[in-house]
Amino acid sequence: MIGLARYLALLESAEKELSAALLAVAERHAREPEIWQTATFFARWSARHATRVKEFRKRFGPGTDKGSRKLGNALFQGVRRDGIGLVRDLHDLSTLAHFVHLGWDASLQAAKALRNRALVDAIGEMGAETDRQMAWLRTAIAAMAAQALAVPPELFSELVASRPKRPSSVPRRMIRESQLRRWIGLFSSVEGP
Amino acid sequence: MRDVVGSYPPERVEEITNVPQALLREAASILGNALRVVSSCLQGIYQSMQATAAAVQINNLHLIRGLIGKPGSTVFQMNGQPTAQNTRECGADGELVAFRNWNNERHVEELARLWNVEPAKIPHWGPPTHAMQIFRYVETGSIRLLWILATNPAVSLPELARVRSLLRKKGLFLVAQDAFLSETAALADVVLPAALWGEKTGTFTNADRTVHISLKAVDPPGDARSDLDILLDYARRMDFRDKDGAPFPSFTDARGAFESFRAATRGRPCDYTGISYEKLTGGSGIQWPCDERTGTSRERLYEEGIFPTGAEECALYGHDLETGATITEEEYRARDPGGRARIKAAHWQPPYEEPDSQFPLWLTTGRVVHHWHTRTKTGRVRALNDAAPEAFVQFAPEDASRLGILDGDLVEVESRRGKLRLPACIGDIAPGCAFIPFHYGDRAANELTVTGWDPVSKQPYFKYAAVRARKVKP
Repeated sequence: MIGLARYLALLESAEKELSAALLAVAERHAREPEIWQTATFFARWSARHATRVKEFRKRFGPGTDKGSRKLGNALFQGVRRDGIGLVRDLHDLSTLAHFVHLGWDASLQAAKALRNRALVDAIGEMGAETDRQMAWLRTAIAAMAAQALAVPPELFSELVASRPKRPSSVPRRMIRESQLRRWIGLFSSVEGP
Repeated sequence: MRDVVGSYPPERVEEITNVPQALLREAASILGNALRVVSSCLQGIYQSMQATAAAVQINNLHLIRGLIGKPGSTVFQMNGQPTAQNTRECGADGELVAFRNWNNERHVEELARLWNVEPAKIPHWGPPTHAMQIFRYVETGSIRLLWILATNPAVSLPELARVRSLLRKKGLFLVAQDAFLSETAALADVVLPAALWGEKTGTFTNADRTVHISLKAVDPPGDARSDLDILLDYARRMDFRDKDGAPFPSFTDARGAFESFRAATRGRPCDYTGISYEKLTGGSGIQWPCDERTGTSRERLYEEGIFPTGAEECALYGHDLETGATITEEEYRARDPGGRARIKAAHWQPPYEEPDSQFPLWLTTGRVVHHWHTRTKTGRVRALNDAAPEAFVQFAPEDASRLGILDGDLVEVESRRGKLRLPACIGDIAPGCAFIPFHYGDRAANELTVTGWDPVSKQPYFKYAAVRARKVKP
């Protein structure tokens, strides 16, 4: 067995971790339409990446790595209420996305050395999508940081405004996302193979 | 673009859009072969799912066929409101004056020099905060003073129950500046009465870049003053100063504001330096760009196929059309288009709310020809009001007969956010759809619409929501 198997396992679990975290953040900040729209959209990308990378991983043997799981557990701690809580959530999502990104970088080198054209192409496509996730996270943090960090909060309004949406106002796609979430496994309970 | 479009053969597009393949092929053949094409689009595109991506595809069609910058061929990406072109040029949309790029330090420095202020005084630490985000900050309490000028969010924004509760919120100091006591002004702590267009002097620019002067005809009634006078009074009372201690802004009237703006357009794509109040008053409108050296205006842009896309010149580095992520200066410079147009494509994404068994109809909102925006003015014109006195809901005959609804029946239309009772109007609409005009404050279509917006333009989604309808007793 070569080390690439372990790296692809790392990527598979990291993408599951990222996908679940994106959905968790989307649900927590469901009153921020742009956040839940794009975060649920990206969760599907990451779930797709996990499935795709698994196909390759199987060909290289039974690799395993618990790093992503441990990273996921270490992140998303503390109060994550509106404003600064959202910026912190986006910050942690960026950390996970960077982790995935470096996984693609390392695996791409190995795939090239192995002259595995199919894997090189697949990593190229998935890595480009990870770049776009990272670019969006950076954009969202840049757009929200000044208001969240430079303006004194008004705690009562923040509390009221971060209550979960009434179920009746949550569109159907959100519910579908919950099903997807169940399929992926609950947030940070994702085990490597 | 070839890769993206290649994955949407007519069969798949028919599946997504319900537009028959034969018609798609016919449209493609027209657009592919026509020698001249003029396209114009408006809110139907801008307030739909993937609005910016769709608007960009219209530009793409013209670009790849070279149907731009020549007689009979152009694109009109229209603005929904008469002064919306102005606000884009002068920076009132939150962007910087004369299409300057907030992300380009040299543009910010140039503007700071023109205004004689430190660059740090000019907000450019992030993208402009759009209206929907401002309302979210009101909701979370980090905005506690909101000053609304010449618009009526209590009728025009989506999900009105939410908007009303925000505007009524304890702890929010709300200022409304309008010519009439609109639904929004009625909720305000302070109302500043403002003059209408005939009661003040200023210029307007339309979507084909023609600048017109509008001279004051009558004095405003009562205590009403022009928006500019109110804002200048505020600036003086706040004692805003430039970096030499002189009052800021330096001008004191509309003509002075025009001169200040004119100086800021020098060398920019919207060069106004050859346009003056004298020239505008003497004849008809004048199109920009019109620079002071030649004094002549240009009827067409892009005749040579050169666009203001150079990294040093462009107003924005652009976005990922599917996610709204901004492109950084470094990324843009690495592939500097340097005057070439940029072709961008995006994959189809389904809307965030679609009809289902509970809410089986698509709601789309829009206008009637007799009214403008929330009827603040047109609702006070007898002829217009008589012609279109009240809101209605429009159904296709198939849907109406299934629901047992006849023309004129009272119907309850309900979404996940609210409900409305409206008279029905049958016909002239696609099956499966319901249309409600958004103008009417007493029974506003926006009670039903979704809070959500395009990731690039930030315009709300007014063109789709899922609703159900049933006949009710009057």
